[in-house]
Amino acid sequence: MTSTDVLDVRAKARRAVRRRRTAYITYLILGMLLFFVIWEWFASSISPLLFLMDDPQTFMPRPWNTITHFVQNFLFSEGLQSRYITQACPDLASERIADIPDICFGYVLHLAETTKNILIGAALGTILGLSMGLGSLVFPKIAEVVTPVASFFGTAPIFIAAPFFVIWFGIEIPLLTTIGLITFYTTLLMYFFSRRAAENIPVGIVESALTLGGTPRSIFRWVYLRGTVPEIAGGFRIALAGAWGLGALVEVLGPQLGGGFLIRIWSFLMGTFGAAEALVSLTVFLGVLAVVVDGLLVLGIRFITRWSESGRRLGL
Amino acid sequence: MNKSLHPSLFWIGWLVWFLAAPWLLLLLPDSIPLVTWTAQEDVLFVTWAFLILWAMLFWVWPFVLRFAGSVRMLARIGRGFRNAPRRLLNAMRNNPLFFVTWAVLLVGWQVVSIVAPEGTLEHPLVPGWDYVFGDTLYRMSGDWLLNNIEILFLEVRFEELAPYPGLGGDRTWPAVFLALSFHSFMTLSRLLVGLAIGLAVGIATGLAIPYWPVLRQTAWAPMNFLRMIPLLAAIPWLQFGLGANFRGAVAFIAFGVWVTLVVATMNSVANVPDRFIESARTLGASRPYTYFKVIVPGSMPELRTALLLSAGLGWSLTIAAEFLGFPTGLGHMASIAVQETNTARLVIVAFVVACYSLLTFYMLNQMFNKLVSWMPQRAAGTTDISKVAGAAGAARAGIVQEA
Amino acid sequence: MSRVVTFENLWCVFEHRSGQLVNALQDVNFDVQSGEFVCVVGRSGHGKTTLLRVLAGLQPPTAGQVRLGDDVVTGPGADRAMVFQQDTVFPWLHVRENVEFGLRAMKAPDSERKEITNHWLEAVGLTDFADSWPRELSGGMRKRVALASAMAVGSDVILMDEPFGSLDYFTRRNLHDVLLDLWEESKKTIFFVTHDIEEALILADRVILLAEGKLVDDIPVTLPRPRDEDIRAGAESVQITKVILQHLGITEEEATKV
Repeated sequence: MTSTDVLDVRAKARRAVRRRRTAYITYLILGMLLFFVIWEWFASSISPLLFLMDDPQTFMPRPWNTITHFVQNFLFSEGLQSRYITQACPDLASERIADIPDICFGYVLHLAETTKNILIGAALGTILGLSMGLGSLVFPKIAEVVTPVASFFGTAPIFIAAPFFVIWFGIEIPLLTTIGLITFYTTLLMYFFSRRAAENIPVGIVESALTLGGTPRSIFRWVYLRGTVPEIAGGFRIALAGAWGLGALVEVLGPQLGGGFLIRIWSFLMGTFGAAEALVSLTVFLGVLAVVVDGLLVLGIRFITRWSESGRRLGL
Repeated sequence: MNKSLHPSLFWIGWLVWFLAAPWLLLLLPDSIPLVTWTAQEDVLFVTWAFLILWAMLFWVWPFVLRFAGSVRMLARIGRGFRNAPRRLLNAMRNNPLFFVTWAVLLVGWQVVSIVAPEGTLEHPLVPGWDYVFGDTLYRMSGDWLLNNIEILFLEVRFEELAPYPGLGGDRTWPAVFLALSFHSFMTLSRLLVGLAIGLAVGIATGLAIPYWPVLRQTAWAPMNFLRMIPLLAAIPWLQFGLGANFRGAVAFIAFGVWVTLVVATMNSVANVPDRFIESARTLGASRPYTYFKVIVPGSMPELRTALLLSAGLGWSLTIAAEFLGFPTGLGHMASIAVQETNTARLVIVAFVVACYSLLTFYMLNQMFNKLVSWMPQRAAGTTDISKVAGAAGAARAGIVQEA
Repeated sequence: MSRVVTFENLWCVFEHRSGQLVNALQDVNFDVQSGEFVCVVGRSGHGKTTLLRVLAGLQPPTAGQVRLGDDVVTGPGADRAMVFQQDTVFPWLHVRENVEFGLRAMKAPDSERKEITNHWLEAVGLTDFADSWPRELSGGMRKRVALASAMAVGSDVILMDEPFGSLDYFTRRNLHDVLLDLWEESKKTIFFVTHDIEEALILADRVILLAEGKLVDDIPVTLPRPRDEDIRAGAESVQITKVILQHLGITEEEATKV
């Protein structure tokens, strides 16, 4: 083969690579388009939901209406203000309604509140769960005490814990209701994830560390603490993904603030104009928030676990 | 005969038998002393004797069709009872901390209940165990509300079983039992039907989608997005649309389970090692043959976590949906507790729910173990932390001694 | 002997993770006669496995083609069964079901399938384990299952990608004997990829040497069979070893130092 042939071969290979990348993006866009087409179908007069309900069209908003509703109410919601129902600035509650800034009636502050509480809860829970899980490596007695209790609470559907928090903290300390439940839930999950991550560290590595003169302290620090990071990071993603629904639901039950509270308000107004759009857009946007936060998390995990093949895969 | 009967026929037959048994009982004359129901026209008045006989007939099916197996099972249960005290003692000796922990927790709760301020509410915020399993449990007889149900052309009335405290009747312990059974039945029927549909359709869809690469690549983004949408937050909306009825609840639970499982199944299909697929292809297997004989079984082991996760989600969805808008079910009982700010009642409901969900997880796990019996037992080479931690300690001690 | 496999101007270019293009195979040309035992030898990462995967139809070439008889290879098929380096015995099928996998895929009649399966199970010495799960077998036994599975589909060409690489020395020697018996009995064409020169000298009629994706030498091995220790210590054998080492960039002096 002559040298021009070689160039030809390499160009062919490059074209194939490019084609694969284009296909990936094309299918991604195609998939999301399909998502909206199917949604539109569900909201249309030939909706398959007809088999399940009498009137799918008032219940299932069209995608475009949902998006516009969300955009229009994001900074200021006329629907909520005109009913003087909710405002996200509790300090201004006693003042005249005209004096309250518009943004206090928008969705944005409520959603930010939800995000903040969920992230605080997840962070607290992770700290607690990890210190118990990894601490039990150093002091096995911790595991003997915590594991039976944690596995009992872990098997119960976590939602059943929510009413306890609502009764105990309820309306007086709304922050503790959401943060408390998320912390509780994340602690349980992270405890088990960290234990499992430690169990999955190959015996050979630990034994090799022992023969290199490792002390319990150094093995804990340089083998367990470092080696469990990819799996723990993956576990954290799972825990956080579950936390969104839980956090929003607690807000539906108790606190007077947050995205879940908005959902409760709109569900009382169900049947009025815009209520279905509001409920769907809030739920879907919580999903978008979850995806965005998860995406940021993936970037972070990818950096921390850049040494690890499985970490890379988890991050993808 | 036992061998020739296909397992699925056995289980389906048992279900049919369970539903048909009450009709069989109706054929008995109502004059014999034990069976004192009265069936007038199309109305059947149910008695305790009727329920007990029904329960007994229920067990006739496995006992006749799998006699040897049933006897073995009974023997095992008997042995279990006989050995229980000894095993408990052994467990206490081997793992005392387990018992100490629980004892401390239970006693600690009781102490807190005494120390904690009464509060201005009707019920204590931290109720003692006597309050929980005494007064509160007894008051749950008020939840016994089921008066009659209509099945096809037959109306079944329950008023002879126990008085209805809700209608001004006396509180009785049988009513407590009936109330808990009834609400459990409602919850479990919603959950199990929804879970069964969601599992079946979810795994089927998850296995079908990756068969066509174009479909898989297209479905990837929307399915992953759907999975991230917090379904728990969608309950108020779905309740409005689907209505607070059995059909709506089942559809909702099935949808949640379906979303979780489709994504999980697609992932586990993607994670089947390439070498198995390539090996099958070089052995001359066609694409469909490889798919059904290699990819489908190869993707099963990874589904365990997904199954348990989706069961957990199913439980949460059921309880939350009942909490927010159903007039029956364990979730509804929990919502009454919140309305009354009655922690004691909540403790009972939570305890019952925890027991059921433990049972569901156990059964799913057992079923799954049967499905993947070919799997190697947990691969060697994993760390038993306690041993390693001990070994590290021992190594240091050894060094110290030598020095 | 007729020509069964032809490699023509074969190129294979991969994209590295960093985005660089790597030539896994560069203009490979050679052909193989029916019934030959060909060993492909080279350092790891120098294109041996790629060559085999292209022949198996698992990897499309970037340029050039592989022909089987007169047909161009376009995908995997039962006419080129392959034994892999990793464990590819299906853990969810019993040993017998594993061996008859290809026959079932071809919808062979029951009686014929049973007969062939029993024959190959016996040939690899696993008759007693026919109803075991793979997890109950040792690594060497699982390799025998893989070997029997490949043999049972009845292809004329068998591809083997460092199949015994993960086994210990004694098991490997044992499996060499099994393989040579099977080969002599069936007279199939065998492609055997290995980095072990000794293994190549025990097995091969012919050694194909690959370096940096290029075919650098094609050495006939005419040592008499069975090749016991004396033959492999003989002058001819040592000469071949020297040639191979030179081509692989390891001179004799270097080799002894290592």
